[in-house]
Parts: sequence; structure tokens; C-alpha cells
Amino acid sequence: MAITKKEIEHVAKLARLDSSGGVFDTLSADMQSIVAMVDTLQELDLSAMEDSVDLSRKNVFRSDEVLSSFPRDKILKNAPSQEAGGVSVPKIVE
Amino acid sequence: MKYEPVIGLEVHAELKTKSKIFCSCSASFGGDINTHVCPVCSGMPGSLPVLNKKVVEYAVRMGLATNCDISAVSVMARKNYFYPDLPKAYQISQFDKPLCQNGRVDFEVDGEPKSVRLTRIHIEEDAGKLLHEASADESLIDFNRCGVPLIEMVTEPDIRSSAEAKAFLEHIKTTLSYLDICDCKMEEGSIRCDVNVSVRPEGSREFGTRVEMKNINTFSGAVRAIDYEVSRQTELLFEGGTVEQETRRWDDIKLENYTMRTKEDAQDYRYFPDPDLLPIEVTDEWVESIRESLPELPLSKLRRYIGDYGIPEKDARLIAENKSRADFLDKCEKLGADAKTVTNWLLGDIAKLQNDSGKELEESGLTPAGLCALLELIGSGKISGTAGKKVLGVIFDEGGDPLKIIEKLGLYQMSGQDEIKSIIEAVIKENEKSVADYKKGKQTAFGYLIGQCMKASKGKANPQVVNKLLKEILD
Repeated sequence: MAITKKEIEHVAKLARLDSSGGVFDTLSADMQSIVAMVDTLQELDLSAMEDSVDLSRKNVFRSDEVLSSFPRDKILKNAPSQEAGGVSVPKIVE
Repeated sequence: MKYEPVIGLEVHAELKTKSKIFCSCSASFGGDINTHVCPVCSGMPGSLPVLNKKVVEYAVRMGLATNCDISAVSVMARKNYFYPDLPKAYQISQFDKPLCQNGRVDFEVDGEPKSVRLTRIHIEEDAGKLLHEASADESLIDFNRCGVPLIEMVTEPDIRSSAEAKAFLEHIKTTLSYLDICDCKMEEGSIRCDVNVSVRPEGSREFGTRVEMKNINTFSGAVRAIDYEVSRQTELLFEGGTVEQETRRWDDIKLENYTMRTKEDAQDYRYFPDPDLLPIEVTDEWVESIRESLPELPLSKLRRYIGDYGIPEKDARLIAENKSRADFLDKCEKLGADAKTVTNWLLGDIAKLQNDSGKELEESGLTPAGLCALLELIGSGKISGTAGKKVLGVIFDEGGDPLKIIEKLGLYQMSGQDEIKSIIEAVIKENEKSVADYKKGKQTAFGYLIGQCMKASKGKANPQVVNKLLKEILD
């Protein structure tokens, strides 16, 4: 599978990476070889396999019980900016 | 050419579990900012989600109530996107293996039966809340709502008008409240919906290009948004234009919508199975035990009220659509009260008391046992209907035993023959002229005498008994 510049730009956009400045120009070949390596998986013949979910481990549940939450100052400790008990971010209205 | 709207809905309902879907933080609404938060729901690295079993049960309840197939195996998936209210940068949801599929919702639109197919119901976590009023260029994030459990119900494009959409949404709301799995508080955002609208020439089998509308917070808002979008698309097509596939945001104040995202920047969510969560297996036994716990649903109640109790359809509907009323009626009926009589009280005097006070039935002091006792007292003639209404008002406001209230207010109706007879005799003595008039054939004089007897008894005499005895004595 060929990795085009357009695809790199799309992925960069999804990951909110800045694609300006030619940083990604050299990436095409690198990603090509990474994807090619993963592509070797395609050589496996899985036609006899059904789409299945591994059920050897399943149904790990908790019961619906409220335990105490974290103190707010602990939760906000790593927030770069905070105000009035909330994490403060640049205004985004969609 | 006439165009026909084709509408599909995506309805989100918050489940009323005590704790969140993947952690033990409280899921309750309205906590102080960022006080229902822990490393799991705030997306701290290294924390691990563990699924709340009740969420699965509640979703299966809704699945069974909407005729869905319950998946024996379902899988949680990550839906990736960046937004400040989503601290992990992915929402844990379900993708190709949802919990419930292939459902059908049967309801009525203006008395006509209607069926809408449900594509799926899946479980997922809610996002946090952005508070914009802080300052002009900053928003504050409150993570309290992060991880509150949701079910998302997705319909097939089977809805053909805004009226059908509204009836569908109301039916879903009633069902959620019957199943006791959602608070259904619209003002708190317990139920939210996105609408997909396209139009096509009437009679056509093809679908037109679909536009998704977001930010619809009320059912009446959904009606306005759909009507607006249908006429926007229809006008566009009439003028020879084409509808673009896009997401538009509805503004319920300006009553218009505008482009949020075009097809080019359509979201690419890159779903994949969440490796932190194991598959969910719902066995037949589990499904059956949930099915057994399901309450009787509105449509079946409606049929029972009309068929078994002979309640007029319009009244039966008003009862069945409201879970607390229906529960109240059913309890009264079990206690031996006449269902029709109870219905008349529920929709008459009790509804008026509710309107005046803004109280739900369960917030009032009135209990099924209390109403039944009151009806019994009225039925046996111990108090008059008018006195009964007074007692009802007191019980509604303060609760209490009708017998004690009647005693306290002195509302007992006098039905004893001797007692009433002595009053009548006194009245006859004092009103010789009216008695003479009556004997000459003047009927109004009889009414006057009854009035005098009632007055003499301070309104406590049973009017029927007075009537009967007075006639006996005079004739």
C-alpha cells in the first residue's frame, strides 16, 4: 500500500500535527516501509477464520456503587491553566 | 413536484445509575464543578476503566422494550476525536458490535399506528461540559459529566414528518421512564437528539442527500429544526440547487441552522476495539432474567385500561402516558377501587391540584390507599362529594388519614334518619307558608324547604336522605 503525501497530511490533521515546514516530506518513505512490514500479515491465509471475539476472558464488571471521587485540587494539579475550579482552555464553540 | 421528508433520529439518553459507566464517581447531575472526577474519568494515563454492570442491564431493558435482538457478544470501541470536553481524546463507545440491534418501536401518531425500525442501541460514556461564560476568550471545563453512562438509539430513516418525530421521541421518553432507567429531565439534558433529514420526490424510493443536525435540546426544538431543514432543502431543490452532505448546527433562538462541518472535513473517528475492556457476553439466562423484571409498558397499559376497565380512550391515554399516574391507578385498582372513578379523580381534581402546586403525584401527600379510603367514605355517603374535594386538597398538601381530616374539619355527612327527621320537622314548623305552597302544587317550594333543611344541618345532611324523608313527611 502506497502512502501518499495527501494521506500523511490527513493523518497529521487528525492528530493535530503541524504539517507545514516540510517536516513530513521525508516521512512518506519511512511510513511506506512501516506499512509494508505490517502488510506481511496479509500473507496469512485467514479465509477459514470467522470474524470472532476472543471470549477466553470476558464480563469484567463493577457493581453500581459510588465511592469518593478525587479532591478537586489533585485532579487539577497538572492542568496548565485553571480558574474557578475548572480547567481553563482557549474558547472553542463548535 | 412534491417533496417528502425522510428523517432518522439518533437519541441519547443518560442512564440513571448511581455511579459512572467506568469508575465509581457519582453520576448525579449538578455537583460542584469537578467534584465527581477521578483519574479514570478525567483520562489520566495509566488508569483503567471497569464497566458498570447496571449499564449493561439498563441498555438491555431498553433493547427488550424496543424489540431488539440482544447481542450475545458485544465489544466496547474507541471513537477518536479531539475536543476539550473529552479528556482522553477518545470516547469509549461501541461500533461494529453494539449491545442491541434490529429493533422496532411501535407507537401512535394522532391515533394512527406507526412503526420505526431501530438500527441499534449501544452504550457509551458522556463527555464533560464546557462553560463559556467565564471570559471572552476562554472556556472552563467541568469533567463531572465525563463518564456518565448513555445509551444511543439510532433509527432507520423511517420517519416522514416532524409530527412523527415528536410522537416517536415522546414514546421513547415514556418508555425510558417506565423502565426506570433514565431521569428524563430535558432541562438537565437527560435526553438529547441529533436529526438526519433528507427530502425526495414523493413516491421515489431513492434517498436524497442527508443533512445531520446537532444541538437539539427539546422535542419541540426537534420539530422546529426538522420543519426548517425540510423547507430549506425543498426550496433549494426547487431553485435547481443541490443539497450538500454536511452537519449543521440548529439555533433554537434564531430558528435557523448553519454549517458546522462539510463532507470534506467530515470526522474520521478511527474506531477500534478498546483494549482496556473485555468483551461483554450476555447469556440467554441473563436476557430472560432482565425480561422478567420488565414492567408492563405503556401500550399494554393503554389496551388494558380501555379493554378491561372501559375507560374512554382519551382518558386512558392521559393515564398510560404518565408513569406515576398509571402506577397510582393500578395500585388503587388493586386496593379494590373502581378504575373509572379513580381515573376521573386523577384527571379532574387531582390534576388540578397538581397544576396549581406544580407537584408530581409522588411529591404530594396523596397515596393510593389515601384516595381509596376517601372514595370509600364518599361512596358510602359518610361525606358528600363536595366535602370529599376539600379533604382531597388537605391530603394532597399535607398527607394524612382522611378519617381524621374529616373529623377535624367536621365534614361528616348526616345520614341518620332520626337526626335528619328532627331537622325536617323543625324546618316544617318554621315554614308553614312554603309547606302550604307545596301542597298547592308549587314545586319550587319543595326546593326551598330542602335548602332550609341543608342550612339547618350546616350542610352536613345527606341531600338524598333529606329529599326522600321530606317527601315522605309532606306527601
